[in-house]
Order: sequence, then structure tokens, then C-alpha cells
Amino acid sequence: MYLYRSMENVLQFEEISFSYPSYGRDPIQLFQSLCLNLKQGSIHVVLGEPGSGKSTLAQIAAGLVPKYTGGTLKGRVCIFGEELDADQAYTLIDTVSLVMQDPEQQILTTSCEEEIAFPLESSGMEQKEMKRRVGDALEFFGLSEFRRNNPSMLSGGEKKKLMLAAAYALDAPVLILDESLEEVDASFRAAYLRMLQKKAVSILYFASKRDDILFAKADFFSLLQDKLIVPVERDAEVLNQCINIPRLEGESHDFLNIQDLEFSYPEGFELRIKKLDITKHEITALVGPNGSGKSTLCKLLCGLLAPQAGSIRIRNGNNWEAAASNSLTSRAGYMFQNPDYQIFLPTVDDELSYGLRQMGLSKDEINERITEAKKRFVLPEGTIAPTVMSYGERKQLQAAVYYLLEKDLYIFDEIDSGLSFPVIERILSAFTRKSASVLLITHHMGFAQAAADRILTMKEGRIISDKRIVRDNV
Amino acid sequence: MIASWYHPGNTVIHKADPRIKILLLVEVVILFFWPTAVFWYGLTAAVIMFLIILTAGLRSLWAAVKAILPLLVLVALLTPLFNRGGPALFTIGNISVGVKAAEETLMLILRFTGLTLIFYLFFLTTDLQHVILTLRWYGVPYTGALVITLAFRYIPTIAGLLGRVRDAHKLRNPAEYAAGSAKRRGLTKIRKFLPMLTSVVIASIKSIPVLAMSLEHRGIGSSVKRSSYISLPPLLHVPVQLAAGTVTAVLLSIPIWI
Repeated sequence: MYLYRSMENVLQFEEISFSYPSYGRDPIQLFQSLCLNLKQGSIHVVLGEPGSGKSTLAQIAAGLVPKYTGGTLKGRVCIFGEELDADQAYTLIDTVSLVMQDPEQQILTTSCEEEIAFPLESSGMEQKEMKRRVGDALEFFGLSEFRRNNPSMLSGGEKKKLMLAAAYALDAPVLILDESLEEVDASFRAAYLRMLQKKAVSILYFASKRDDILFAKADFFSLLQDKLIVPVERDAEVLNQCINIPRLEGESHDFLNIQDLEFSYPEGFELRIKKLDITKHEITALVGPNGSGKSTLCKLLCGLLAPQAGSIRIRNGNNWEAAASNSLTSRAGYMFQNPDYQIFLPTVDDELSYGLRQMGLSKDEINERITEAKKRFVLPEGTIAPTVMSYGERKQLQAAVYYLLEKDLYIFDEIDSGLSFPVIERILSAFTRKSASVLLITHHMGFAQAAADRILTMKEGRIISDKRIVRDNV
Repeated sequence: MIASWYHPGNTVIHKADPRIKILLLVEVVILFFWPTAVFWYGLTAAVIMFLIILTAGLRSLWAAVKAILPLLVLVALLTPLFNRGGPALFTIGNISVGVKAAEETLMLILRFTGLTLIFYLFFLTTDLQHVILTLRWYGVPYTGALVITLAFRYIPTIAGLLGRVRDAHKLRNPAEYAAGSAKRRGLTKIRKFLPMLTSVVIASIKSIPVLAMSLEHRGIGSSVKRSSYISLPPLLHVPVQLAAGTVTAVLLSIPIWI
């Protein structure tokens, strides 16, 4: 239906206004007469705060909103000059590929190769051509060894790569990426963008913060703010925000020690850490390619996995004690990347008071701490249900929940994913007052260098480098 | 779970044509419901167990049996209560267990075990893509096969989600999950499970529109004839399998003729 023909604007948003269903409350207008043109063969980055509507706009461009979410959409979306028929979004299959923010929910099949082949089957492609494309995609994205594996067994970054691989195999001329390169290792991000540019694919990329690799290759920038999209220049201040995390207060000292740690999964991955000390009052960034063992190490550190060999010792006063899993679980807090796994109570206040009640605090003390946390993390009213809050707000609620728990080690899994620098800064700054250690899992080297006192790099289950960072922002 | 049951291998059962395997599967299911001697149920169940051991090892068989063990215990305890009469085999307190009740219990246990294990053996040796292709070959419409695929895809996903949610809750309230915690007994244990269930339900419900979006965005709904990434082997190329399948079918049906 949409003929791929040479024209300047491949995707156009014309006077787009949108509001989600109000469910009895005042409807919230997400966009108001918003306009945007994606030029052929260009990379156009749309920067927006969490909750500004980036994912919704991406899904409108693919004809999926309001069809599956409800809401009122006004204006026109044109693809290669033709108005999008929102009732037949499937017709875009070989024209527009959308890679959503959360790959987990997009996966449809039980093997990686089948996942990549799924849309190719839908387009009726011949088997021989499909095999070639699936093989190429698996190879380019470094997923060949997982060809027959169940995608649910992949790491978060590998799942994102799998969804990118499915889009790559389709070879559509327009690509909409909703924070799709978050959690993907830096070297691969650069190679991927190079390849797309070479193929002259038109890319609309939705981002919540600066990514040096992406920004260096982008041709146009816009800001999604106050219901509108505003073009901005490359050197605009908003695009060049830096993160400034204060150093943790208190004197550093080792409090957790790992010796000859070994852990392996039945699928074959092995983690081996010869020696590692985690220091209190220090922010440590854990970086490394997808599947290098960062999450596994953190699960061992907080007692969710038990070592198969070696020891984890924890400092108790002046003594070092072998740490059992239960002891690690009570002393470490692990903020999962997906806040919904850790939020389960009806209101914000219920969430915040849950841990404090377990600690046996008085009602007044609980109220006082909750009020302070809500102010610090800019949370909405206590009676609001977390399920109706935006992703960024839910992340801040999740952080506030852990902020109120007394732990020695706080682990943040991809805190930078889907959040803007000011929000990350607000969250991490709150923890600098704690007498604790902070461990950040990230793929964003700029963020790691700006936020951490130390960077540990992992590869194939080993720590291959341990560098101290001299921060000039503290 | 089911998707991850598949155990890659090169055994004869792995290599057998899935269309023939599915026919034999149906026949075994019929056999386990055919009114015949308990001996035949026992023999068939034993053969299936032997095949599972040959295919994936004793540990794999134990994993499958362990999963249904609580139900088997329940059957063993409750069936004698509802089957009174006949000569007594043994007496426990005021309850006497008759020969008929023992036979009935054994038959139910063997039937349930046999049915579970034959499906287990099928999924252990047949990858999901071939299962779906076979269903389509037998005329199940694509949408029907897709629903089955999605169900199989979501069972392990939801199981994995529950694991992650459990970990997350454990980290928020470690005392509740400490080994031997006095708080985690009986009704309290069930009550403590509710928050976990809430998180899983919320996450699952939230995924529904995204799943629908994902399906349409990847071409579901289109009138274009769908092609297939993999194919079943041509039936004509497997006459030996057909012959072997027929012989097996005849052998399996002996109890029906007796």
C-alpha cells in the first residue's frame, strides 16, 4: 500500500493531538497540534522526559494507538505521502518497523530464529530468502549461538538486540526506535548505526537523555515538551546536559569481599571472580557487553543466587564473616530495571509505608519519613495508584521504597534506562546520604564516568578491568 | 515450561516424523481411557517411562513425576474413601480398604501418570515449531496454531515473571522469606503470596495491549498468504517411519482387542 518512493519527508505528523481515555477523571491532553517531519535517510532524535509521550507517539506512527489503547487522536500521520490507515496497521509491515521500549512484551515465539522469522512469514516471503535473512540478522547481532534458544532466557540487552534483529531482517525503509539502544553495548550501538546509515534507513529515535554515540550520528534533534515537538540545534543546552552526582558521604572502607567466586548456569554460562572488594561510601559502576554476567554477579551479591564455589564475606564491625544468602538479602537492595516487579500495593503511601511497618516504626515516624521521601523523589499524592503513574514516576517510587529501607548495598539495574539525567540525578543524590555502597549496572559509559568513583568492566563472566575515576564534579 | 521441556537429541523418537508421533500420542491417550485390565495401563506407563529415561535420563523422568506427585498422593488418599465394598485388603483405623478400591486407585494413578508422561515424552522430543507445523498440517487454522504457540510462549514467561517478582519481594522484606520463618505457615503463607500474585497479574494485564500491538505490527491480520520458516519433511520420504508407526499402533491396540 505504501510505495517506497523517493521523497524528502518519509514520515509526517500533521497537527497531531491526542489524549488517553479519562476513566471518569479529567482527560489529560498528551499532544496538542504536534508536527514533525522525518526526512529520508536521516536520523532524527526526539528527546523527551519520561512520561512526555515518546512511546505513545512512536506507536501512533505505527498505527497502533489509539487502536489498542483507546483515546482520542486528531490530525494526520503520513507515510511516504499517504495518510496512515490506522485500521490496517499490518499493512506497514514492510514500510515501518517499530522496536518498542520493552522487548519482553514484544516477543511472540519460543526460539530466537523463529522470532526473527515471524514478520517475514507474515509478509509471505520465500523460505530460502527467509533463511538467508534470519542467518544474516543472527550473525550481525551476535545471536547465532542462541539461534534455537528460547528468547526468555536472554539477558535484557540481548532481548533488545533480538527485536532489532527482527526489524533488520524485514529491511523496512523507516525505523522507529523507542529507546531501543538502551542496554545495548556501546561498540555494538556504533556498528549498528553505521550499518543503518549506510543503508540510508530513515530513523526516528525517541530518547530520554544524551547518548554520545547516537547524538554524534544524528542529523536532526527535537524536543518533546509541553505537548509539542520543538526542533533544537545540536549545540542546544538541553541536548548537552551532564549528570552531576555528589560523592557518597562518609569515609570509604571495604565491607564486602569476594574470593574465588564461581557460578554457572545449566545453559553453560560461567561466572568466575577471583577477588573483588566492594567499598562503602563509594559508587561503583558495573559495565560490560550484554550477557557478560553483570546481573548474575549482582544477584550473587544480594543473595538471590548462591555461589557454587568460593566465598562472599561481609564486614560486621571489625570482623569479616562468611555471608549466607539470607544475610546478603537483608543487607542489599536490588532495584530491578522493571519497577512493576517491585510495586504491588494499591497506593503510593501503602508502597512507602510497607517496609517501615515491617521495621516496627511508630505511625508518626512512618508519616514523617514518607513525607520526606515523597518530597525528595517528587512523588504524586499518596492516594494515587502506582499503576496509573508514568514509567519515570514508578521508577522514582521504586527508588523511594528502597531509600526508606536501611541497606548496606544498593544495586541499581540500568537506572539510566528510560530516565532523563535530571531524574537519575535526583534518585542517586538521595542515596548519597546513606551509609552504604551503590552499585550501578549500566551500558552508558558517559553516565558511568560521571556518576561512579570506580568502574568495573566485565566480559564473559570475568572482571577484566577495575579502574578508579577521578570525578571533577564533586 | 512446555517450551523448555524440549530436550535436543538424536534419538529415534527425536527423528520420528511429528505427524506420526502425534497420531501415536492420540492412540495412547485413547488407550488410557479404554476400559481394560490395570496390567495394560501399568505396562504402557512403564514403556513410556523407559523411553523417557532412554531419551533424556532418569533425572528428567523424576522431574516430570515430581511435578504430579502431590496429585498422585491426593488420588491415593481419597479414592479408597469413595470406593467401599468388596473383600477388605487392609484396615487403617475405622477405614478398610477393599481390593476393588485398591485396583481403582492404582488404575487412576497409572492413567494420570501415563497420560502426563506421554505428553511429556512428546514435548521432550518435538520442538514447538514442529508441533505447530504438525497441527497446521492436520488442518488446525493458523490462528488456532498461533493461540497455542502464544500460550506455550506465555506459560514460561509468566513462570519467569513470578520468579522475578518473588525475588523482588524477598529483597523488600527478607524476614518474610527467611528459611524457617514462623510467619510463613498456613493461611499466612497464602496471604503473603497475594502481593506477589498482584504484581504478576498487573504485569500480565499490562502486557495484553502490547502483545496485540506486536501481533498486528508483525503482520497478523494481513490477507497475504503466510509462508513458513521451517517445513515438515515430505511424508513420502519416511515410509519406514510410517511402517514403524503402524506396527507400534497395532501393538498398542492389543489391549483394545483383548
